[in-house]
Amino acid sequence: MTVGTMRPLDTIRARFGDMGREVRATPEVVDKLFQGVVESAESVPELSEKSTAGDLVKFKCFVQDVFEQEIYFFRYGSEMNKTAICCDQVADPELANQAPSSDLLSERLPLYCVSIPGRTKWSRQPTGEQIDQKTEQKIPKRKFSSDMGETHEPLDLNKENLAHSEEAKRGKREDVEMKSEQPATPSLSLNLPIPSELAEGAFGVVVKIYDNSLMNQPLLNQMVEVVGIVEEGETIENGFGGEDMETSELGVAVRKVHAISVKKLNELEAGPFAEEFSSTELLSDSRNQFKMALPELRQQLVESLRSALMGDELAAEYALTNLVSRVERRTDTMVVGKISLNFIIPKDLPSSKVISTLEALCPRVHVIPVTIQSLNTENFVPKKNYAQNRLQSSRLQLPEGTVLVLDETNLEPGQLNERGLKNLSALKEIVTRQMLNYDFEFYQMEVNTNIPVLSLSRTKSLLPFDDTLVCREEAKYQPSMASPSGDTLRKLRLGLTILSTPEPAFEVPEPVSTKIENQFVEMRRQFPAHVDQDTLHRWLSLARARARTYGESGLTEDRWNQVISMYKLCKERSS
Amino acid sequence: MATEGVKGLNYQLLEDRCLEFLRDFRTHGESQSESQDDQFKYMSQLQKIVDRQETVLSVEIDDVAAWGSVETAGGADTAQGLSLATEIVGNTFRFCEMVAAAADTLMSKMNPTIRLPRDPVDILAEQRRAREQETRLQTSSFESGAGALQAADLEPTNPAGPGADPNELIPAKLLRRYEVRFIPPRLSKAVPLREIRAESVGKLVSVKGIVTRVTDVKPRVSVAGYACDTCGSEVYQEVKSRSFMPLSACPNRTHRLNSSTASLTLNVRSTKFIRYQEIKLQEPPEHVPMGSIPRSMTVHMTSELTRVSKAGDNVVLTGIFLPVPYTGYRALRAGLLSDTYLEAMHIEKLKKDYDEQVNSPEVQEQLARITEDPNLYGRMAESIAPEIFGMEDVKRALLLLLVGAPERTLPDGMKLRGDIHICLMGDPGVAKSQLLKYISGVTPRGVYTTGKGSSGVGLTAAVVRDAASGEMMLEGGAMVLADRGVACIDEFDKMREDDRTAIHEVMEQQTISIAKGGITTTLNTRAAVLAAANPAYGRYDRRRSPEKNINLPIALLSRFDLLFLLLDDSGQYDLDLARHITYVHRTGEHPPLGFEPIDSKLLRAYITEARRMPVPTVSSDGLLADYIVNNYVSIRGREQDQKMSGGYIGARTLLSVLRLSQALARLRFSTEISHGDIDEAMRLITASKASLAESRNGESVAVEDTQTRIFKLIRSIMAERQVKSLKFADFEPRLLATGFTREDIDATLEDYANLDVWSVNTAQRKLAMV
Repeated sequence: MTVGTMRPLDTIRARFGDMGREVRATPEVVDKLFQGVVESAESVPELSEKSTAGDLVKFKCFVQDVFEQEIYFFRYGSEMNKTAICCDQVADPELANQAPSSDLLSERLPLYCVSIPGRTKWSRQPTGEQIDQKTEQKIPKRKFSSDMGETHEPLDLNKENLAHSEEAKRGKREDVEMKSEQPATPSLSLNLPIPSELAEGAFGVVVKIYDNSLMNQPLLNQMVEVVGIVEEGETIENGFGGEDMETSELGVAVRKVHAISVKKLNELEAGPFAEEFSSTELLSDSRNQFKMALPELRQQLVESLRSALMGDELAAEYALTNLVSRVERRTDTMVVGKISLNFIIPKDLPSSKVISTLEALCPRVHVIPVTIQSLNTENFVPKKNYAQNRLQSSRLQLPEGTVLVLDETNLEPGQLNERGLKNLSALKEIVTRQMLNYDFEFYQMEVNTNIPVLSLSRTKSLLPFDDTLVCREEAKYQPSMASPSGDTLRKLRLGLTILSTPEPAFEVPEPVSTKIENQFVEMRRQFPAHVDQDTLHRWLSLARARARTYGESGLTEDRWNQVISMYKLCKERSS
Repeated sequence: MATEGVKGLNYQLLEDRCLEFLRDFRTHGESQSESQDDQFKYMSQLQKIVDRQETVLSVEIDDVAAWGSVETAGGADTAQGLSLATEIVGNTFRFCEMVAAAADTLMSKMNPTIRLPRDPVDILAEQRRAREQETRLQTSSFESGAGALQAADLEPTNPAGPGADPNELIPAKLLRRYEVRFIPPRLSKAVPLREIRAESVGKLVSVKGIVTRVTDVKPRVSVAGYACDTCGSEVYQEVKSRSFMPLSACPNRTHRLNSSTASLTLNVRSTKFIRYQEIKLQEPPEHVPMGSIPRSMTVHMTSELTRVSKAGDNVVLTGIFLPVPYTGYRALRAGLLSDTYLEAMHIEKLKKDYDEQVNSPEVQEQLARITEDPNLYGRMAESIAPEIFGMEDVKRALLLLLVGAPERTLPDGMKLRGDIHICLMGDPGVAKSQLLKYISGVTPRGVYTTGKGSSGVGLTAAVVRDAASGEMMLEGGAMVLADRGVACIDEFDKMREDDRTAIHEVMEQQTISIAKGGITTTLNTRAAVLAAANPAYGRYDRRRSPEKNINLPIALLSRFDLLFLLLDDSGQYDLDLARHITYVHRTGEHPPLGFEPIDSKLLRAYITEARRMPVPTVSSDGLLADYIVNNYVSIRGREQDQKMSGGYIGARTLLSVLRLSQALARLRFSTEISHGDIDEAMRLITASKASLAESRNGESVAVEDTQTRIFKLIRSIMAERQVKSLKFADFEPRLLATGFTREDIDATLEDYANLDVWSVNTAQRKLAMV
């Protein structure tokens, strides 16, 4: 029998039935059950509103939270030939009577996933420029239908028995009290890192994974592609006391999907050009092709950034360097490849102009307006909400490669409260070390981030950026081209995507590094107060990113010297 | 819960084994003087329960295993005991019941050793039994099996069937005044929470975690008692889960015969309630892999275990991992999901830092290997933050801080602190913070904080209102949390004024007194303080005196055993630094070190061992004591001569010397302080002073070298005696007592002889001035 004609769940169950009654839930067995259920990922439809229970669907998403593992019956029934894998609700009396015993059970891990946050408008279209409204994945906000919830009273309350019911009431009241302990916590709703995306069709899905090896890997903040079976009903699971959250409180409900396969995606695979680089050959092909067109493309990229920055070429170069910079390596003390920039932009340049240009070019951009008010009222640090047992998301919970723009142009003098200070120090951590301390109340958890930060301000930012550049209007500047459109724009986007995808190995050749070392010692002798180990570290990161903007996979002396002169120009401007 | 006879086990046999174990197990006490009772560990426990002195029967798995091995050694049986221990760990819930049943059997034959007041329950039970016997006699005349009070929910362990013993009509659970608890094997390791999987269901597991949420303690029905409205008979129902279906109809046969239904009324007085509390346990940060969310687990605590833990506690919990099939309404929605929880058996609070560390045999072996290294002290010091250059002395000092000296309590109750406090002062960017972070990471109870303090609690403690209960609670700040650990305080100079006043007490008395919000208390803060501070003007200003640069009051500074000044000088390290950074950029790793660093786990294991050493003492022959005193006097003298600044040398310094040398002795796993320890301690103190003195003019001149001092001393001896020549024997003992080594003296003699200052006659061991 072919897989196509059967419902995927039936296929799995039928296979299980053939396996015999002693089968244990080993990874191999689970693998075997799932094998071939997905014939080809392409043929699987995207998750949509129309997907119904039992459908096989696929989608790309961002792992926002990892819930507690669940135990389910891998094997049950009088014949021991039934399985409850990939299904939460089985109306089977045999199951209800099955005594749990450790050799029958297995576990699965539910992940809470949301649509990849921070995607710019154009990159939300599945294939770059080809806008196809119909295939756009979109699950609108749903209202919870309560008809299901009212049919049955909990069976453990028996109202006929007075004494008992009184006790039960007391118990219940206490339960209510416990629930209402945190009345102030607003509902987490979909818990999107960027709440405003709700209006743009963001979705949330609970994905249950069965792959044991995957469970042990870090999944948080990963972008993944899931192929799985849609579960009936919609719910948000929560942990404490095992009670389901009142779905109506949430206002929204989410689908549940049992994952057949979960693939971690890198920045490229998660991006809008994923299909074009679906294989490594394709990627290296386009890299090679691209190398021909590179000098021109790079020039165009700089041009478009330049036009947004009132013709300031230095700023445009810096900006491009920033956009392609990624954290490549980490040691305990150093973060290699990170750049954070602060542009002090002239009064007559609205920050929105810069932002819109960035949004037109980059697949993922998130703008945080830094004002006294936003600092004092918003929460930038993801925090564990123990009442709902969920990780409360924040605007800084972003997937790798998202360009973070801090718009400080509207920052006025004012008083920061405790939350404001915390938010500020969270921003500081990202700017200096590309990491964020998630707040688990009883302790902090360091989570690495990989998001280039660009800040736009009117005066020097209050955060310690790697470099601060005073942008200047270039009077003589004539925009060489009108704002790019159509094919050019697509090329630019493609180009930027390729440039920012780290090539496997970046080399700093020995002679170059020797020269750098000597130069550093010399400079340190001259300006001991201005040059220290951090400066060298920053220069090297800058040089690395700059070489990347030329599509180079190694550092040359030229690039190094360019960076030093860029740095000098930058210093001159600020003095 | 457990399925009966899954593995075809004979439960009766196992229950007999439990009984034998309880009855026959004896501890092999070394002292023969122990009374017979004490040796029968469990029988004496049972006796205490009978006497109502105890309410818990704690069975140690270790004992069960030991019992088994004894049996096999005797050759009487197969390894029953061993298998019993494994059985218990594998199917704990079941065994709780079986051990309890066995204990009941044993106790029924025991008599209280003291007269006890009769309890209503006893009286009630007695009456019930008597009456039941009566009714039974009556009913049996016309029916063979009567009086079956078998309720649907009644467990088969309570076989109240036809002809059953009237004693068992009342569930044993109702009459039990104790609970069975299994204590996990002492050497078993706590499993990380995330590794508890489906295969652990039903087993006894130990997990380590932080309590994140605690519910109120509520009564939970353990045995529900009902009275029949019609026939007046009592019906009991054992409740094993969180919810239960109350009985509504009296199961007494008579009603069925009359084909009438008699309703039951829950009788609170004959119902047994137990204290019940639910807590939520979350993985501790060290078990959470990078980039993962900590997992958590619900734990059910009953009776004695309630109110033991509160949110924020670090605990090791042992319990039975059990599934609860969703019931009722949730079953419909969630289908077959099994929710899980841990039925707590034993809870151990972690507070003891180093003490709780158990070094595995492999680690012990590694330790033995590194101990052979003659330069262990240097190598260990270098292994502290190995990627930070230089700072040999600072690292050595930090190593000593980690080891610490033992705390001493004098007979009059005065306490001498053993923790070594160190302050690092220096320019920004000299890796102070990195050192601090490293140290806080390497110690089991290291807390890293900044002087400004990230939370309102700050460094000391604050009274806060608990969001959940609205109660006032005392929340410990960094210093309290670091009790028995290391408190790493960055930006010490930017500390708030009130914290700074508190820190005086913290550093010397090692307590914090609090009088806030109606709470007056003293909290222990037995922590070593490692502080980092920036100079007053951001960077160290050489044109100003050290006092002006160091922005801290002298009263506070004197509390530090060591104060190091770290300046960002261009020069010797620049090229190394540059190489280091370019290397990292090239390869993504730190450059290979010139030596093999001891990794931080092993370092911690070594320190754990060192800290277990008994208090090192100064040998009683008085030589070393004199030596210390002489040294102290001479330093104090010199200080007065040279008007050295940067901390005044006083009685505290003497204590510091002792502390440091004690730490050094512990580091050598020695119980006696040696000459070398004192020398090294003095050297560190001098070095730390020197770093201050150097800063004054940027050149290291301030401290005389050893040879000059030796020369001066010899000259002064000559001046005293007004002679021009001396025998070696005249000055050598005095020099040695002052702290110079023979090598130093020899070198001085030779060097000055080469300079033609004096002539040395090695044959006659005489020295003559030229």
